[in-house]
Amino acid sequence: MRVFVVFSVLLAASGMSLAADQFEAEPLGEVAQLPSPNPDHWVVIHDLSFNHMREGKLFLVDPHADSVSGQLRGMMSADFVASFLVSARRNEYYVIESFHARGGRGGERTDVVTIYDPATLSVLEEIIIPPKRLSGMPNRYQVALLDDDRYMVVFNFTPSQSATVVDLERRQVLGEVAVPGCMFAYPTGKRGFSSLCSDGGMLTTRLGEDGSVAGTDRLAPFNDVIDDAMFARPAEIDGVFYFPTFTGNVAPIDMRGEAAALGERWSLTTASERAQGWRPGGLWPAVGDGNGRLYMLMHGHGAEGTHKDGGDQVWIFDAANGKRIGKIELARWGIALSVSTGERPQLMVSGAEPVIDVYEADGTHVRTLGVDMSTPLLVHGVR
Amino acid sequence: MNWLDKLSEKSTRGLAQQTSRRGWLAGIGTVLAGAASVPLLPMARASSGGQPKLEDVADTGDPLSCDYWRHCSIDGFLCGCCGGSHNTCPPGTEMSPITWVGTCRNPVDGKNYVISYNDCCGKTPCGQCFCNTNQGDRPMYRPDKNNDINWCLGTESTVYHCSTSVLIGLAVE
Repeated sequence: MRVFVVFSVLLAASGMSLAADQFEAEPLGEVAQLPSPNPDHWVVIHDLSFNHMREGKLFLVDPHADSVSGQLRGMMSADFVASFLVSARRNEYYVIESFHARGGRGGERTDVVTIYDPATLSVLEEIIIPPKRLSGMPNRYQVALLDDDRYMVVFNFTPSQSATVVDLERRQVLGEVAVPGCMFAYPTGKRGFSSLCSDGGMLTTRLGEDGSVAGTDRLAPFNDVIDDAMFARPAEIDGVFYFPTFTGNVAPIDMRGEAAALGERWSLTTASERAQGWRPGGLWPAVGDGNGRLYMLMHGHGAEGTHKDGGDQVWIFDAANGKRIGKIELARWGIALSVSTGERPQLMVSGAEPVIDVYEADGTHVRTLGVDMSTPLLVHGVR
Repeated sequence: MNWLDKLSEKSTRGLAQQTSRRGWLAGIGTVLAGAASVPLLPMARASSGGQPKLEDVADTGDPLSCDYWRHCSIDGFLCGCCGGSHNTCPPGTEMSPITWVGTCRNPVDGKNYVISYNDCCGKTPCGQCFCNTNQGDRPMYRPDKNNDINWCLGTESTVYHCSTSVLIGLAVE
């Protein structure tokens, strides 16, 4: 903007005329704004920029639009494999990211919760958090909002395991709670979160208003980590988390109460399909939509080591009874699933080629988004 | 070729076994204060002595290829393509002192060896020879078995650059 001003001054000083009487000059310095809150069918696509991860991007996209210019509505930065959260209640976006004082070389690391205004995509505020957040391939549940979005927890790994508790109303860090031997933060009850533990159990940590630990509960080991591990990347529908397992089962866990409650396990596959090696897989293999549908990314010929492969089919299940209600042959190999929010949720499939394919809930392929991206792995609904 | 391209290529070949994806690493031990029911994680150190060296082990394959047997559970840019080698960090980087360990079968002698997948740190990601094979990989809640974690921990810089596959021992059955 400053460049434009300087240019204008120089132009005036030079005595040149813009023939202002022939047309009305366009105003300089205009910056677009967005409807706020953003329309609920919009999505935020996280492009990790894996080969240069200091330059991660969060694209705000309208997946209903046909053209790239209609699709891409704005962008947020997302440094060093950031996490992203939406608070519909507060109408704020949060980017949990890391900065290094010497860039690619490293130097002092600063971890930040950057708070964005959806109307302007400008930074409202930032909260400095301890520089120890879990660094690795992103998991939606390495961060979480609790208690009607009053609190945020950020999972840490140094490799000691803990969670930083942030008060979003007061915009400050309240403290850090130990979560020894367990990982992630699946929101549980009013002000708690549950974590999967290395022994195959689950730990629920309840917080007090001051962010300290108010109580804990443990589920005895139920997860066969070696022979049929639960993915740490579940589908969530109305507070029930559906964890697929490596060999094709689903372990539902109800997080609506004050402690995690284990549901009855069921199988994604028939005996015949299992024999053919049909298994879930991918960076994010399972998602649920607002209409009670579970989508599972599936591949055939599965075996030890194929759990991150993704798949060429999406199987749709009724979460209420575990019945398969549909099957989608994907337009291209998929590696991660997401869904949009709103009245007509759409399935977003991150492709093996770096694109996002959009499908209706019935499996109809609507379009491939035209936004140019390098590693668009996770998509977030905005509500 | 990035991991997405590699995945696409493999899928068209019918997929199944080793796939490739992303890039950083895992492995390691942690102080699990107060976790009575939680097993302590194995600790691997690249500097541990008295272990077999490559020259002592019958070997085959190309260490710059994702199919090389030692890379059976790697997740990252192969350091051999970045100025280092399969067991050496590139110049000017620092090897992570902690990481996770995998077990890979040597096709020549049929024995299983313990591989320490140490990351090299302190420069921006190398971006060459991405390789992700997941034999024995388990989700992040088992950090000692997970290759999704950025193991540039305990290093001067936490910026991930590339990954090694250091032979540290013969696996005990």
